Amino acid sequence: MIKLTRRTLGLMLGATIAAAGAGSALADSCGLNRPIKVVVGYGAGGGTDSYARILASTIPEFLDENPMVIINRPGGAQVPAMKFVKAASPDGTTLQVVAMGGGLMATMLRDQGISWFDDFTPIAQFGVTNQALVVRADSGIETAQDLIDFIRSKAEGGDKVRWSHPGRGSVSHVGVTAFLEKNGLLDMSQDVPFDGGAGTRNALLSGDVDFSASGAHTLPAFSEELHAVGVLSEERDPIVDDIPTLAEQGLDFVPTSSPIILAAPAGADQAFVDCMSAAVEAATHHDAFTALTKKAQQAVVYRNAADTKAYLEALADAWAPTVAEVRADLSE
Amino acid sequence: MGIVDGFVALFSSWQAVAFTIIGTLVGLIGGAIPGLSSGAMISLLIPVTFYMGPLPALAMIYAVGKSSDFGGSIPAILFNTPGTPQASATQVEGYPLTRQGRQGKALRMAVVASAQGDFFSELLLIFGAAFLAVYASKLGPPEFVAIYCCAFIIIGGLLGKSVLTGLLSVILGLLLSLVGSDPITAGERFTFGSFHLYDGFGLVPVLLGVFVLSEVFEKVGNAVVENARDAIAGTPRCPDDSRLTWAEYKRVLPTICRSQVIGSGVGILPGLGSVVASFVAYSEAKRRSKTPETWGKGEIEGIAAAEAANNATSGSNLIPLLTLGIPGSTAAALLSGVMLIHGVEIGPRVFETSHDLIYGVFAAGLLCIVTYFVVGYWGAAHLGRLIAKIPAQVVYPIIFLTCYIAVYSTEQEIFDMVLMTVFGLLGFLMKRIGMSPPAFIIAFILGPGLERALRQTFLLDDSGILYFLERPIALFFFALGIAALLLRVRKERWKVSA
Repeated sequence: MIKLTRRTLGLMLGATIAAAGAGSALADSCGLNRPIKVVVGYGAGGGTDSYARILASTIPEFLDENPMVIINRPGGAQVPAMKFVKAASPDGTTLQVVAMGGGLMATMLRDQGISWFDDFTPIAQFGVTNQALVVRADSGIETAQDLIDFIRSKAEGGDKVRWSHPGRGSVSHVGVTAFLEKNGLLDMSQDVPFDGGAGTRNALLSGDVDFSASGAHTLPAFSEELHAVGVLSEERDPIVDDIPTLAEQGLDFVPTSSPIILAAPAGADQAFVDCMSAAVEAATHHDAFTALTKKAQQAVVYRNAADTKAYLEALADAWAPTVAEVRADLSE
Repeated sequence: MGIVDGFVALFSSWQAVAFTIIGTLVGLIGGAIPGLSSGAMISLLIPVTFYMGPLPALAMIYAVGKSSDFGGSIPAILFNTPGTPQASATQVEGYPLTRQGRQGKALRMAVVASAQGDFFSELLLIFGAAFLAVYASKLGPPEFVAIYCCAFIIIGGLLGKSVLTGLLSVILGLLLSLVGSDPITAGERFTFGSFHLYDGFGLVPVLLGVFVLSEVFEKVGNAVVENARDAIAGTPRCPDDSRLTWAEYKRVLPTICRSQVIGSGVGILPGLGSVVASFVAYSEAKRRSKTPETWGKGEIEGIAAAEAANNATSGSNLIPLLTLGIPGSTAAALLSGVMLIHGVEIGPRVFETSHDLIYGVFAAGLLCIVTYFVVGYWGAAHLGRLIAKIPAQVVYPIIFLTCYIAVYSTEQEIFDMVLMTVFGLLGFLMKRIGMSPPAFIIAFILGPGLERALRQTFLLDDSGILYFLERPIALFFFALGIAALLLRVRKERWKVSA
């Protein structure tokens, strides 16, 4: 027996109107007849926000013109945004665009009350950012092996190298920490956290630190000042494909790509997820989407719901050992 | 000549000209509405820019940020309510003028100083950007520690009733800025497990509470009821009350010139922002003044100093952004987002790779200054006369409600409304015991930056505090701060003994 509350009445009313409405149109809009709110855990104007806004500007065409509205809830390593979406109804009207590198990392590093794979349903991956190890162009360091040798030689002289990153628990921090750890260099280095990529890069440009972790896509503008020694990924970055990966250089590391994904709260209807996933795929082939991401130098990589989930689980498994160590450090 | 190419690019596109003017007007209105920051307005406009050419898009966004810096001074002068945080210094002198019926004069002083400061800064950007960027890149965390400390000492020392209450206000602001996530380890601090405090106390509720609600509480506390039918603004008594005379302009011109240099200098340093610029310029002008007793009671020189400096940051702010990719303010950060979408590679070679576009944006900046000057100068007197007719019993309830609407619309959190009320009471108490709300706010806004820079300094080197000895620029700023403090203490002693 259904209890008659205002909510169920509303739902019944909604269902009646929906059934009475044009059935085919509703199927096109993945069963939605209200604007989709997409929460972004970063401020407007950043990389993740741009991905989300480009998607929102192209996807309505494939959702029977149902609009997608971006809501920025910046701060706290995307956790407040994730909590907001987790608490929302899984009816498809509240979704999130997450930079999963930082997002997944944040939930693994601390007890945030979020267990990502239990609390969310991935819809599709539609972008990626890769991390690179960067030195100054005049440093004389050419390859990742050169960097390792440099760190060792400094340690022999009783000195620690300093390196900058955009914040503890960020995907670059964990990725580089794992690289240093696997090559026995962790005790020979000191990390210096900055607030975002620009400060991280400037610390390297001004000579305050010896190397940095940086988003690979931000490097072309600094090609004369900075030199990337390797990308922390199995495959080359689609945007800056002249930087060799650490895998190509035969070094021990943990891949730390950050997939840009669209996700729904757990419990979203499977038909809806598949329908949205198809709409995202269609949007990524849209001319405007291609043109905008190309101009913004943002890599486009599409994975459907099932593939995205499998890929994220593999990343989480690969990160787990380093995350456990960083986690112990953070709680000290 | 780059700027000539820029004007050619700007004026050969009617969309670019139209959107510059639209952006200017949107910024003016948005800046004048408390709680609606230029950041929020630009965020709303970002999706619109997707479908515009790069020049109209960037020109519009740039114009919004620029003119909102002036727009914020309108409610600061008329209602003692800063529309933007950087207008807080303007309100110190502007609101007393409104009470005297000289709001038209105050607004005109603000628009003249804003436009002049802005123009100076824009010229600096056009002709000196590449050269100055080299210096900005040399500043690391130790220098920022010194600059923050120097700014706090100068501001705290000069804004309070005494050095002691001023510095106490700064310390209280710093302490409250510790709430939220730790800038280095990203761990939670003093949040009591509350999800609302994860990023600390929100700026909008704190700002509106301390400055605006406290003012409403004070009016209630002073039993304003008896003259509630009077307007909060005085009625202009003579035509001179609504205009700026040539003699007055000549008197404040040296202050405007000094303040625009201060503002541009602060603007080049990423992260300090226009709040510091306006207060440092205000403090400096007050220190130099031969008639310091007129300050705080409606001194147009104070408005000139604050506004010239605050707008002078908007051009020079772009210097670190364009050349180093470091946004110096929220507006600059959002502008960089729009550049990202339009494929402008921000970095050392941006002046070569996007020559016409960048100079076109600079030309749009100049057009924006002219536009808000024209609108502001001739609109100010009308607005001033209109406000003079509204009685206090209408204005204060409207301000009170506007605060709650503004704070709720920012984050849609009831929590922020409660927070604002608490900070309103705090601001009320602070004023009662002679502490300085502006000094408190500045410390609150800049506290996280100081903390981050200080802890980064200790991570950069193992020698701890001795590391500052290796950084001459940092030592210079420490010495400047200490000298300013000693001067102020000596002056105070002298005043007591006299």
